[in-house]
Amino acid sequence: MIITPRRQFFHAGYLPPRFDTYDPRRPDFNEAHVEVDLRACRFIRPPAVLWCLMYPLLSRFRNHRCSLYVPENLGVCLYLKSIGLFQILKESGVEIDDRGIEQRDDPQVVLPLTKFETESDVDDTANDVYDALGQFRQASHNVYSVVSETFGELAYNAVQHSESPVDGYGFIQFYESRQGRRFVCGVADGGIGIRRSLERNPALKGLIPYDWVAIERATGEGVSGTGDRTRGIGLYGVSEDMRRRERQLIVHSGIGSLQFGEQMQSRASKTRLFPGTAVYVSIPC
Amino acid sequence: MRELNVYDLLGKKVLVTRSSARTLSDAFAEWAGSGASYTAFNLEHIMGITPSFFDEMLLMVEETGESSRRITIANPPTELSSKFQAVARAHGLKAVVADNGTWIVGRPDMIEDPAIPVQA
Repeated sequence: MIITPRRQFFHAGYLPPRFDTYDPRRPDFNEAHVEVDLRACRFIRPPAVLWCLMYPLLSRFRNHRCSLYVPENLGVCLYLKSIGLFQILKESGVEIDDRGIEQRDDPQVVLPLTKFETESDVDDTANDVYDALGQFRQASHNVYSVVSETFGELAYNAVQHSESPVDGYGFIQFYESRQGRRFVCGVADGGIGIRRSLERNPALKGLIPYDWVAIERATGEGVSGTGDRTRGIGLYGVSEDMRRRERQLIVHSGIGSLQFGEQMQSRASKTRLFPGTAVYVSIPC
Repeated sequence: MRELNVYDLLGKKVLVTRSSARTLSDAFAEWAGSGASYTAFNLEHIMGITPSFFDEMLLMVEETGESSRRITIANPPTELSSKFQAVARAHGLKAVVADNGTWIVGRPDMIEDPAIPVQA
């Protein structure tokens, strides 16, 4: 099976629809060789990196042979290398030929792709993030607090609820464009997804027919898979924080997604498969 | 007035997980037994706090039977946004900000009682 994303790969929603049924989390996923072909990619946005990480990791977890063909565009290739994608995938046994692509320290990468498995990992990483942001000197301390709190809450959600066989990963980077300067933060897992997590709550059984409905409900106040009266604030809190001007949120779980755009519209819909859950936020500074 | 200085106890600038909040429980239990008229946390040097951590703090207060008292949180690192107010609501409590920036958390009737000074 060869998966070839678009030349401009923004996030998993931009994948060809025919791969929706090829879910590497499923027991009947049985591809002899999974090939992710990024050679023609000219532009890869940070949320797409999360798919490029999770799909191959899950394929390898199920002991399938997996290859990732690196972009021919040097800038894109350097970016993916600097954020740590190639190293993590190679360590898990994904075949990647990145010869001649130098490792460079990208000053825009605040936190390269980092694995977290336990609550202690989450605490340590969130505190490292704050320190790294402080050295960055690009924004006010208030922004650093929002970024580190948001990252911590998302990573904690992944550790607590995802049941991901490949754990969770997150990254933070500084992004400068004509639209201004911002921090972007992504967290992903290869776990059961928001819908199955919420279905653990008997009160929600049968009320969540689709992944996009699950995401909508999970961003509401007090909705959780545990049913505990004080739970269900994590993703709600992140979404509340992102409903501010010029902030952006993308939640992608299974074949559902929810986006708050620059103009603060909220849009939940069916989309292409993300095998697990990925959350991406963008915060101006 | 004695306060529980969270940074001194945890050594972390960003408060994230419930398990790290639980490491405050011994110090909190000692505090709760000291006969203080209200529960006071000081977040000086803290730069971030998640709703999960805040929720676990309120649960600890509840478990020691102290929830009938006011809880003050001095030097909060962030504004009292809707997510923290939602956490308080889930406990049947209300959270407001005092003039000096301290968060005051308590039963709605206590928070709105003008006889109770808001200043911590």
